[in-house]
Amino acid sequence: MSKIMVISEKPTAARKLAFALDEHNAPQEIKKRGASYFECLRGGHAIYVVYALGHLFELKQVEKGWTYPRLDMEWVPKYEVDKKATNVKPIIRLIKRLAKEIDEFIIATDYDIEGSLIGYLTLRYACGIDSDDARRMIFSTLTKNELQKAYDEASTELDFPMIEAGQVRHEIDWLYGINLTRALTLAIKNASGWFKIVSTGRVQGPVLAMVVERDKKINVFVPIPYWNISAEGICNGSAIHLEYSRGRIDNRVKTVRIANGLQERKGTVGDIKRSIVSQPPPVPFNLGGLQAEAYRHFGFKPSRTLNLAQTLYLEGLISYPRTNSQKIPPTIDVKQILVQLSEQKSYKSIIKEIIGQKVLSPAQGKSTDPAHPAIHPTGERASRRLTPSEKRIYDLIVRRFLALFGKPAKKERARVEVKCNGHILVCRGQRLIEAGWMRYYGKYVTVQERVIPEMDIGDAVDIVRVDVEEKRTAPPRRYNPSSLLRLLEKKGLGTKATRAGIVDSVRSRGYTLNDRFEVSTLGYALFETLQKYVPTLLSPDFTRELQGEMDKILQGETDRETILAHAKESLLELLNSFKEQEDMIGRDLVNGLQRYWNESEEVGTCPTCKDGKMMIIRSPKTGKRFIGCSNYRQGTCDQTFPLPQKGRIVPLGKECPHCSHHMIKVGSGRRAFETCINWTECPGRKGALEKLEKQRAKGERKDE
Amino acid sequence: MSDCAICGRRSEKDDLCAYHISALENVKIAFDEWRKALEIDWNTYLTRLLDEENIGKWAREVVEYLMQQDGS
Repeated sequence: MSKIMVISEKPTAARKLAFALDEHNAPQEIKKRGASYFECLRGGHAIYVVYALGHLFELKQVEKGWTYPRLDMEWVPKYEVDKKATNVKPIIRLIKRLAKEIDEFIIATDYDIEGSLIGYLTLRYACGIDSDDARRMIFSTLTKNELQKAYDEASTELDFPMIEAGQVRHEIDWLYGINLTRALTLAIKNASGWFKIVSTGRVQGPVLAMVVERDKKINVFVPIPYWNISAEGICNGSAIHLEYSRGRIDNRVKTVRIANGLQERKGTVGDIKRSIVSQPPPVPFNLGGLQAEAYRHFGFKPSRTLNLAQTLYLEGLISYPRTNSQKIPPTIDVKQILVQLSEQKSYKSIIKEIIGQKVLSPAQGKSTDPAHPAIHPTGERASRRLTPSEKRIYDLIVRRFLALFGKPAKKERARVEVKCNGHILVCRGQRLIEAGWMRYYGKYVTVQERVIPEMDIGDAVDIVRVDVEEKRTAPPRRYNPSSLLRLLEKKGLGTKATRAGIVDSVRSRGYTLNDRFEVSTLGYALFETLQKYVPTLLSPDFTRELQGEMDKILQGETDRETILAHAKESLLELLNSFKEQEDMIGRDLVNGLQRYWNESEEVGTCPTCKDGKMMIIRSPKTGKRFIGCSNYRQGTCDQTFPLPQKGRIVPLGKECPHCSHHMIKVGSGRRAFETCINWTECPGRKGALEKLEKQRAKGERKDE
Repeated sequence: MSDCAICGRRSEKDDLCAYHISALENVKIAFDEWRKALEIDWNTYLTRLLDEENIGKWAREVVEYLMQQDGS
């Protein structure tokens, strides 16, 4: 009996594979020293399904020393680079031991750049096997049928273009990330003696630049006043809403004159335009589309949506989510999926209607992906109770899939002009004539209907009320995690697998203050320094060009060595130019850091001496933090305020509505609250304080 | 070269950094629109800007700076 090793990407996927491949649907899980694998029987072969935990191997510099440039790297077990990755050690050891008895190897990781690389590295470094001897399973869902088919029809060779593209992306990201971060950090250290890690990377720099550009526009924005006029009228006994046809008016006197001219006047219906607008069904979800829709409806960050979708995929409920495709190819048995989905009560009646159609032809989008179709449900039922968040994402994916089979929605739009005292007012109406696909998409689409009464040309309109609204122009909108991710996609920065992480990293590094991407002083300091001395690092063209070259590997137009050599050459040029200006770069970054620290420690002017600054101070004796006046050292003011000892403190730059003291935000992770520095005495916070004291007393009693 | 009178960054012109110069330009440009819209003078305009919810951070700082300069 020959022995086959199937390498999967994660434990959940390994379990799915084992149950799909075992002839008796009862694979055995063998546990060995902190790791496990599955033993199955199929066609007279013993199959060992092992798993990685994402990447088991990472890049490490060959030459020692925390300096730059460092251009030589090697793949090593992850625990050698990341000391926390201790769970990887028993898995590598187990795969290494099992590999000695194996006759054939099959890679069954996700079929994309990252998955192919994980499989290849595991094969090469854990199994010690020549990759030419391995086969590749290709699948887009973890359903039994598809996995069995993928096993029976496994490709006789690995997907080398994807492996090479993945490898070179890791290598280039490592080269740029390590070297540039060290260059910046060492510039600060040499200029000031401080060791503060300031990082940047191939994609992070351009993302920071985009966020800063938007922030700058918002910061210099000055609103301009304008006026809108609307009116209520009566036509044929029905009330109608009218708007002044010329839109915004830029002068108050003119506005008042027009409004007075309309007040309690009679108008007549002039032109009437009616049109039927057809709205085709939406396109299938790719990852970006799903992330945007999940943010719109549930407020989920793109990274959270990706994690939830990944879980649903590993449960076998949806297809592979890391896809660019907006197409459902004919090879997917959509009827079978619909039949299976109809077993779920909430979709039953809609699916009955869909299946009744003569032809089942889902709507298609433009984007394609060579490896996977658009995200769609598999039709399988969940084997466990889904969490509320998982349920939401699953329902959204199912509903979108159902909507693809709907007819176009039809809306009637009407525009009626009313002439009144030399002015033209407009009444706009909209109603849904045929819901079509919208019924299938359910709560994820709404149409704002504005029903207007029947009117004919020449009908009289009595103006009964005129409203004038003074408004202001608005600044450009801030990015949110979803809109920033969409922008990266549009600009071709990062990949579907990396974008969500990059968006998160801009905040986690302290370059922005919140989910609205308000740039911090630290973010500005880094941006200004890079812009002045190494602007290439902020240019989207530079990284897009590199990305394009990497993509050429996938098309077989170039190879890893060529791209890597070119990337190293460009990096060396950058680093040489950096080195020449290191003193100035360091000095500018130190200035920026000082401003950042001052701002994050300075709460506002001292309420007692009105001269000093209230600063967040940590007592050198007790290690406890408090707020104290900067004039303390001069002996002119000893005003202090206590601070909660846990959570990050952020000065808010506003005053308490109860006692007028400075406000701060105290928080860690998702839990955050706002309070004032006078919280122990503030009349508006007595209730909260009493509650806190009761809780403390309770805690102390428990301890006793 | 001196520091920006508002934020301490390096000043480019008239004791202001590039960001605050840009904000000042916007404040000046917007004055033409405000004057046309409400027929108000420069000082009233500055006072009213401080009440504006959507005014940018740097633009607000410039307005406060201008009013302080004027008052001193």
